[in-house]
Amino acid sequence: MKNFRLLALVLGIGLLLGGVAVDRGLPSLDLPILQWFWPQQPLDLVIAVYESENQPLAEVSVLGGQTANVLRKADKWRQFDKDRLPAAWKPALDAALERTKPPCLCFVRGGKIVAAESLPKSDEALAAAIARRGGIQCQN
Amino acid sequence: MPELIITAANCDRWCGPARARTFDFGGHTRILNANQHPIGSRGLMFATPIEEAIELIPEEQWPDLISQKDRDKSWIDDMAADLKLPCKDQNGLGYCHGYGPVTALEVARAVAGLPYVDLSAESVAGRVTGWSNQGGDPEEDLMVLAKYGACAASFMDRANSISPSRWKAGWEQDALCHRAEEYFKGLDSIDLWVAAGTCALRNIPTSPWYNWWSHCISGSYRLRYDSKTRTIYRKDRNNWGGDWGEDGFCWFARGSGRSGGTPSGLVAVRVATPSES
Repeated sequence: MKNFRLLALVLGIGLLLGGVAVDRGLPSLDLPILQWFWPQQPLDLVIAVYESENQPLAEVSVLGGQTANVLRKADKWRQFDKDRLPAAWKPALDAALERTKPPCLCFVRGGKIVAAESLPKSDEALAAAIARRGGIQCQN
Repeated sequence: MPELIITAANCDRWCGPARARTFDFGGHTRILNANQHPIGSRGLMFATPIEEAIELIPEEQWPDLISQKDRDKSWIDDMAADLKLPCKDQNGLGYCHGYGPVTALEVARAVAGLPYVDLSAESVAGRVTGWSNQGGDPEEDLMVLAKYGACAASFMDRANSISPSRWKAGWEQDALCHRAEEYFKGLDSIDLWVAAGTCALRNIPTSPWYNWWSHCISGSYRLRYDSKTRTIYRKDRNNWGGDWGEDGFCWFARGSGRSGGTPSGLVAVRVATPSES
């Protein structure tokens, strides 16, 4: 009986942590084994935050590349200068930018920023990063 | 319509005769008077000179960079094609000085991924000219665009209306949602061919004007390098509707004379107000 309670407690804590991790899209969910147990829902939106001054050409190409354009067409891409964030997203983006410096990508699911990471260096890497976070459905 | 390269041979047909004040195209009289007021004479100092804001890329580096952007399909032109951004039409108004900068703002919104809003160039150029149908300095339009913005065209009582008393109430408030937040100017103290090309490589929408044409358009959509002739061309877009050129687009080669693609001046809009509607 005592062992059963201990097992239930461990399982309960595990489920709680797992739920929080799923909700917040923690990087630990990138582990394939965890994704097998808790597959991520598709993203709603990808927000790129950049610094317009001295922007490298390679960064311009990633932000203006094919993957970003597919998302633009489906209204699932936003690209904001770090000093001119829209009011609706500013608190959430500011919090994300404290952890991840621009240029970066912020992934949105259920109206919340669930993860952020540095801007990938190529179009292929951008597509892979989005896929790793659960992908995004573009039906337009 | 196949692609249109503006040359000395076809310039009269597409751009109007030299020194013309008006030109009939598409069934409408096109007024050519962008620089009725001497451009740059007052030296509006509110916009940062482009050469201070961004590092200009020497032209000899362009061929390699053009190849790379072609491979990446990362030109503003690719974006405009994907999003099917429509060509604006000033339709007889002498407001090219407003249409060019407002189109640049629409493109800057597209770059930011913001939903397309057909913006009223009249709401900008009208403030510059006191709501009379005449030319103006595009830099003044940029100043209005930065301070007051451009309202959605849906506020106007009809297309190309310059009677704001007939527009829907609230157009001024709506315009504040569509402002140029980060912008530059380029005057002829620098090589504006290089400035406009650099903007194309950096995906910064521009509005160049040409004194030989007395006209202001939108620009820096794409560059192309012809290795046989070692000529670089830049793709711009006119404001005379989709029937002009290739859906409004045309190509220019370097040159400051008639048909030349070196602007007499330009404004650039790097960041638009990030409003969703």
